[in-house]
Amino acid sequence: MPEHSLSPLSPLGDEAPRSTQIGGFRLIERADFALASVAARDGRVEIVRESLASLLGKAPDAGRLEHGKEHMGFWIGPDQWMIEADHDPYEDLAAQLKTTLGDAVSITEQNDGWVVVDLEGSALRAVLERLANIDVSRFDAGCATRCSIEHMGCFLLCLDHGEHYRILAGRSFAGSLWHALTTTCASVAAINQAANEHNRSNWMRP
Amino acid sequence: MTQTNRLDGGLIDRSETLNFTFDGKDIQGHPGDTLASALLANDVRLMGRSFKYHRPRGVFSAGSEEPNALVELRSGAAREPNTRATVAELFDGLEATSQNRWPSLSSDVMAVNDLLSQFLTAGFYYKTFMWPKSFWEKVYEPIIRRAAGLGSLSMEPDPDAYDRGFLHCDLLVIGAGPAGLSAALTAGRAGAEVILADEDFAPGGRLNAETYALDNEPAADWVGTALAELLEMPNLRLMTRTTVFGAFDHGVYGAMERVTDHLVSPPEGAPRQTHWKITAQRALHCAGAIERGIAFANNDRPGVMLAGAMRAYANRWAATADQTVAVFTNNDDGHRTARDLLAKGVNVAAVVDIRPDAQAMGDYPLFAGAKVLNAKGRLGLAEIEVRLADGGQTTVSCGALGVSGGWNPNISLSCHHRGRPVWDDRIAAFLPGPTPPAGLKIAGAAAGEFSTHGALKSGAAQAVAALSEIGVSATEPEPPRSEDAPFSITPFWHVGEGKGRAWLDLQNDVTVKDVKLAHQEGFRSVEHLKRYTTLGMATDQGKTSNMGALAVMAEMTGQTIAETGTTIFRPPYTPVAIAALAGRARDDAFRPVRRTPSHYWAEEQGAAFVESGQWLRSQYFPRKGETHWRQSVDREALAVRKSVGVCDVTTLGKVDVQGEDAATFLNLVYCNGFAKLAVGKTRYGLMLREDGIAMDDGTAARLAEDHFVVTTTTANAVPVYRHMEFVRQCLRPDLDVQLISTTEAWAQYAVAGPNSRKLLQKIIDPEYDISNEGFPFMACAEITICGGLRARLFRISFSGELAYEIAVPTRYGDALMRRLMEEGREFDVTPYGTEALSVLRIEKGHAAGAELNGQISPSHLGMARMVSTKKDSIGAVMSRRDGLCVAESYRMIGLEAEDPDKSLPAGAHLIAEGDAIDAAHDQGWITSAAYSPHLGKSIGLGFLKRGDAREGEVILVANPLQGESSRARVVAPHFIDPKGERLRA
Amino acid sequence: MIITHPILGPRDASEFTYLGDASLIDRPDGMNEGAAEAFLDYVYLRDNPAGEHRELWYHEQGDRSWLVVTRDTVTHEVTKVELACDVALAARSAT
Repeated sequence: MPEHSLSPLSPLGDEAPRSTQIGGFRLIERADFALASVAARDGRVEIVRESLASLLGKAPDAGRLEHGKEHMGFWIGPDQWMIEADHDPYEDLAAQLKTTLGDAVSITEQNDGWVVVDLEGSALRAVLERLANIDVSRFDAGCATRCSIEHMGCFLLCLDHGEHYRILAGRSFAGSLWHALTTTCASVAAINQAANEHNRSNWMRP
Repeated sequence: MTQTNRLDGGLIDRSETLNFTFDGKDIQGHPGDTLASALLANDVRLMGRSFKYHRPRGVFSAGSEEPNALVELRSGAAREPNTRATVAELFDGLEATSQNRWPSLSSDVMAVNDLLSQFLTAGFYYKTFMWPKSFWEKVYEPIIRRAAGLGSLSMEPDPDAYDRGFLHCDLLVIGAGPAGLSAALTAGRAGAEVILADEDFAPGGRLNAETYALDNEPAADWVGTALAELLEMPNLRLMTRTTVFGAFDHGVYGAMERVTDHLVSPPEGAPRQTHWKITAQRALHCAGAIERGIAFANNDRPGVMLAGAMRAYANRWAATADQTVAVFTNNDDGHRTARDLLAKGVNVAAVVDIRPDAQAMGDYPLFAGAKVLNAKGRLGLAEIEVRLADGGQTTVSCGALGVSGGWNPNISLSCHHRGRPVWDDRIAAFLPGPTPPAGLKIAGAAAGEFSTHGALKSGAAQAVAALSEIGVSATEPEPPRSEDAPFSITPFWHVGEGKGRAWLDLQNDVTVKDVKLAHQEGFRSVEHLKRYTTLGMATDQGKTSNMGALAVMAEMTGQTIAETGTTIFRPPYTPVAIAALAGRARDDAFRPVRRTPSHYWAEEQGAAFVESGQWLRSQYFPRKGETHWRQSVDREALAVRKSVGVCDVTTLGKVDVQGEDAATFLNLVYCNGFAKLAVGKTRYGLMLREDGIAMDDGTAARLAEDHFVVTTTTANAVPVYRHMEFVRQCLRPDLDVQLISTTEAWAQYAVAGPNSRKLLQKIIDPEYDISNEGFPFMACAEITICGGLRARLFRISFSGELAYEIAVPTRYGDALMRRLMEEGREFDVTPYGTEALSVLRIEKGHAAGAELNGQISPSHLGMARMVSTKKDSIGAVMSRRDGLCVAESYRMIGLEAEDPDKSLPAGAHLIAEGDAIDAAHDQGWITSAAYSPHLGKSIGLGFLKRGDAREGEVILVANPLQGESSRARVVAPHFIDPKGERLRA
Repeated sequence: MIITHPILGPRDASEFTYLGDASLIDRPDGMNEGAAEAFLDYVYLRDNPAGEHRELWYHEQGDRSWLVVTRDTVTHEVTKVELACDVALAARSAT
């Protein structure tokens, strides 16, 4: 990409993306992704699926994500996908995909439409089930869905069941999303602490 | 006090002592106690005053059905009124206070209500305080509210945190008594995802309160073994302290988990309660049964309680209300209470059984065929009067009386979808009807299976049945050997003789006499009875009282109870804290906030922000010395007209429209034509609803033959996108068009004013020609700025000045704003906020949200000719309806204040001079108003009947809300540059 | 309420936005003779059945599909869920 003289700001308004550790949970703002949405044009969906397969190994089915060598993609609607790649080499991801996929698709740059936060740790189930109305136990690695988190429309991706999830919300919601995620993590951490401190009493056998 | 009424055994941990206070007195209990059991163990029977008559009351039950023992827990902002002492888990440091009494529990001055009881009978609200009408709100209600009431609020914000969450399972088992445990074991072993929820802190239900053996081990031990197995199952979640309070459509259940209510000092950030929304493929209601009383004179004395509760206190909590007790029953269960208390060393003074053939279960005096006439003792039971089988009368001294009128299956959740219960003579009670909420089955005592064996068996069987419906095969285990006694009951509801009132609904103070009065006055249907007497309308929904009242009404009307019918229960099963329903969404987090790309920069400038839907937008940028917002706004607006200003307009919705048929699609969506819009051009577009009313307006820029970017107003971004998807999927699925929102992907700034081109030329890369010829009004292009950053440029104007909107990827929005400020210094560039934006557009006469209010058609806006007749478009046909187009209808106008000192309030109504200020003479209204620094007076936009023909007329601007009016001159709705020369410069 | 999305399976009703009667799919042609009367019917006249009702729901917090949901207005039982674009295409090819 050409060198220009404007410097970026992360969705949370910092020069560098934010991260924090709460109890056993880590929240990491990811500003290092390029994103583009891909929609098949009328009657061209099979061609698009083939192209996506060459990019991602397989065109993601409904509710799923797929990893390619340098791209990741997930299903966002009928005949519609979101493609993710590293930002710096792929800042013009939309234009690159247009070159590859040509007239079969409508492509829209989505690089900066989203705030992306990774949620990592162990036993994240308790956090997830306080955030989104999904069946967490069956939301395995490779699952991708749009859902509502504290009244914010989000994409939720499972990268590693119980241990690594990615959340995308509209970029302007960054502050509220961060607040929702940090308070929920803090809440679960405190509940876990309470459970450890107050072991079951003797009256409750065994 | 020293726990004088503490017995042996029980599920309490004597190795630890918990100190708590009740009405300031220091008292001790143990882990495993509830507040009620600890108070009983300490010889406290008097726990509260009743709602209406302030009668002394004690604990009546041992569970969440409790009508009487309502207390306030904690103090200060954390005070929680109306907590049932029977479910308040004891912890060290608990502060509990009795309520609805003054000055103290034992001498309450409002008990005078009890003496006035003949004036406060059923329907007194309707009879006594009829007139004058104005007295109701100002006099009667405040007095009644003060005198009769429950606990009081702290009037401070709730200091606690609450959480919410979502759970999913194959089978939700509600209640962890014998049926629930048996169901959970069966389903858990089958590998299903199971949630087992119980409102108690100790699972086990009645098994914890009984002395039965299951497979030769005490029932409570069997519970321990079952729990150990359940806790090992990864597919099963045991949720104690969790009340499933409502059944909703399609297997959705509401549940409230009391997470830290039982901890004196929870860790920072821990929620007090969590509100769970549980989506269950199938659910099993195993909520047991609730015992009911028998009404007799003064049966509300502290010490009179349900016999099953008396037994539960003795067996589970090792507590008794008194060392000498009696029992009054119509079924065998009362005898179990006598037997168990005797075994605990409590003196059982008498068992009064209305059945002449009753058999004793132990060595206690039995009065068969007898009934209790009266209970005596002012602040606590001292003795009972008994009518013997032979007609004689005797008195029995006792400090507590256990009453058993039989058991009602807990039908609550089965009624939540209007399921009508059915009467069953065998148990003399209502059973869940044939149509419980879809997917909900009922097992155990809740289904009328009153024996332990029956409950265990039915829990397992119903779990197997529920799972088979969702394709999970499970095996019914052999239940442990257990009690399987047949249920024997002689229905008996109230003792007809004896002086004094016989109480049915203890929480709402409804007596047998009230029900009779209701009958006498014609309120005979159960629904009328309920509302006239308020029976069952208290916080306990009449769990222990409804049946008795139905029976009395049946007796009065000569019908059976089955014919009389019953009212039904609705959610919540037990009271739910409002704060818990709100969860984390409170205060600043009440709803999400959206920040613009220039937000952090604007904060540095000291901008004032305004909420615009979810967005926080810069409203104006005060400068040093400016003391009033108008000074800032006037300066900003003038600066735009004079030189150049910059405003963040990212909040406008942006929709990417692509596809071969994109232009055809927009031609349908907009009422004006788009098919012929050239690539590189932008056009104003008006969207109508199908009924011909304006929905939204904006622009569409054609970036390529098959690619448009549509903008919407900030407020309508979401509904307009939804509408466009509706058109695409439902109306024209044959078109090749793809939509996606891209609102937040681009930071977009309006750069407006005569120097806007000069400013932009400094940042736009030199290969792009933005001269008036090279980039004329309404042009658009994809360009680069600042040495190669991709950007979009639109030459559009909201202010009426030469203006552009420039968009860059959002991450560079902050830097672009700073760069524009830096490069614009030579032009005295001025950032402006939403207020100046509004002033500028009112001066220009552009319609916005206040004008497009859902009542306004293109004809009203003066845009009727814009609606193309050469094509079909949404709303075009209906917009031509006569009613919207006649000359007498409203037209958009401008208004100028006649008096320069008076402002024109938006919302004010327009009345012809000389007419009365009333609705009959209303001729229109002001939609938007502002002080125009450019014109030096207040101006406005609005709608006026025949407005386009009335330019020059002076009209009355009426503001009856404030009793003010002023005069304004009707003008064309363009206050500056009507020919549009500036924006084409 | 739960709506079983034809592609995504059971989803909570809170993810959806309700529009109304599915007859809105059958929009008259505004350029036809008698369009004014046809639109009067289309915009304002609705059946109000106590029982089976076909209605439009939009999966706003999901895949942005418009759905035709057949629901019993008395019991809330949902008996059928279709993609509105399939219904609309079928209707177009039928005429």
